[in-house]
Amino acid sequence: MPNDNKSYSVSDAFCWRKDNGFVTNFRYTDLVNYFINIKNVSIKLVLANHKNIVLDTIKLNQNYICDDICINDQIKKLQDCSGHFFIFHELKPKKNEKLIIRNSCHTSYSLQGSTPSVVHGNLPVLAEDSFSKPYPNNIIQHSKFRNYIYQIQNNFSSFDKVEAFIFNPTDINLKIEINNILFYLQPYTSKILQLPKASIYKIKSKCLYLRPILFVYKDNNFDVMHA
Amino acid sequence: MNFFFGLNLDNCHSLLTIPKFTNEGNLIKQNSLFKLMIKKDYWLIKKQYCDEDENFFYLDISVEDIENFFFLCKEDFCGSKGEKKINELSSFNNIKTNFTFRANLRIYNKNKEYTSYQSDYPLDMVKRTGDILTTVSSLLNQDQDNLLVFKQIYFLPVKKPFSVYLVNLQTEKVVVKRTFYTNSTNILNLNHIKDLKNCCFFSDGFLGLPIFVSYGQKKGLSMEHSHPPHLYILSDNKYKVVSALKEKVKKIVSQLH
Repeated sequence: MPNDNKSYSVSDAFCWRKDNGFVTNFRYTDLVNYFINIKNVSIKLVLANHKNIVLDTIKLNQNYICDDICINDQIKKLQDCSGHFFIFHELKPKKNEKLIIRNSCHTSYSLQGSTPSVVHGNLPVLAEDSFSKPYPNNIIQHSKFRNYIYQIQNNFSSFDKVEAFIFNPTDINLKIEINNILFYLQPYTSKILQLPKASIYKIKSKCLYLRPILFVYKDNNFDVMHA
Repeated sequence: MNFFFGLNLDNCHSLLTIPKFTNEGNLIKQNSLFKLMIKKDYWLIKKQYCDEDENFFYLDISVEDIENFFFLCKEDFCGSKGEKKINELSSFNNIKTNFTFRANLRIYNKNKEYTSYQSDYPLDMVKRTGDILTTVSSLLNQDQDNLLVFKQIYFLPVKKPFSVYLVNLQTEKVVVKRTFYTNSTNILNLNHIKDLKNCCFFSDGFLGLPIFVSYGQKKGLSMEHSHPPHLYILSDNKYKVVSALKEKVKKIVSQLH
């Protein structure tokens, strides 16, 4: 985490998608109002495609402590079908008080009118200070030399299809292996990929902690979960 | 050391898939699955038999076991008697991992609709008392039946009552007050409660896991847990900030008494 003397708003990387009838909804808490009782401090949603090109920056309503926004309503005219987004809270800490807030709020995905499946934020990836200046270092670390293994603790053999949303939280071009699939992700980019049928998925990369969000399908049902 | 559990819900079964490896991919050898149940004034531990393969235990939790808890331990833990009596819960295994050791908890209904999340109940929470505070509306689905399921595990083999509240932080009023119990699946139906966008759930004196389940009107189920508040504050003052918020809620709640 940022270890200088500044206050930061830290964001997880959240997945959005509208392909194949998906509707993405972001359910957020006005964390500054909730924790510190300071109202009307702005919250911005930075919407990007998988290449991390910013598509839109949206100011979120703060009529309630918790509210939600339909991402599909914001991206109607965009050609991109999926990507990722970040949330930053404007911070106005007291003088000499350092505050680091992490937005790991909840996103829901509804497929063709089904009950939205809710999942909390995955990993903290980016931060901005109170002047909206980005934190320059990696929040999730990587190694120059060794590979890390992350083996997901579930059996996936019963599902018809499994997709993984993966975000590269580091400033290096990351080589990632999931079972026998090999691919690369540029810094701060993401990907949704269908995984080959398997009971266990093992993820190997030089990133210390690379945990995907999984979309799993069986018959007419689907679910979203953390790895 | 983590415990695993099912949810005692009217229309859903619970299935636990418990791994025999850590997230680093290290196999946990010669371990078995055990269950804990309250018997009069002690905990009884027995080996839990279930389907398994080289990588997982698969436990479709029966009605009789739905309020029991489960954990991994060396297969000879209960010795020749096959069961063990203890007065309080403590650490029974020493699985070394840099990550939280979790099992997949899936709930499913008769229509084979399902939802799951990677779940655990840490020993640290079992041994401590305290308060739980969480916002509510982010995990609910409109036009569905919404339940707040508060899973509580306490180190003593007792079903002790404690108070929980829904508090509206805007109006500073208590909206709902209920009595929950230790070592239980406690359920609060959130239907017909207004202005949940400004509400938080507060449990007074006992920790537990707030899990939100949506089902009913539309196809599909949803289940997710909320985060403890200190996960959202990463600076050194996190406990001061969270304590101040809890004190504010406690003050609102005390106006009831």
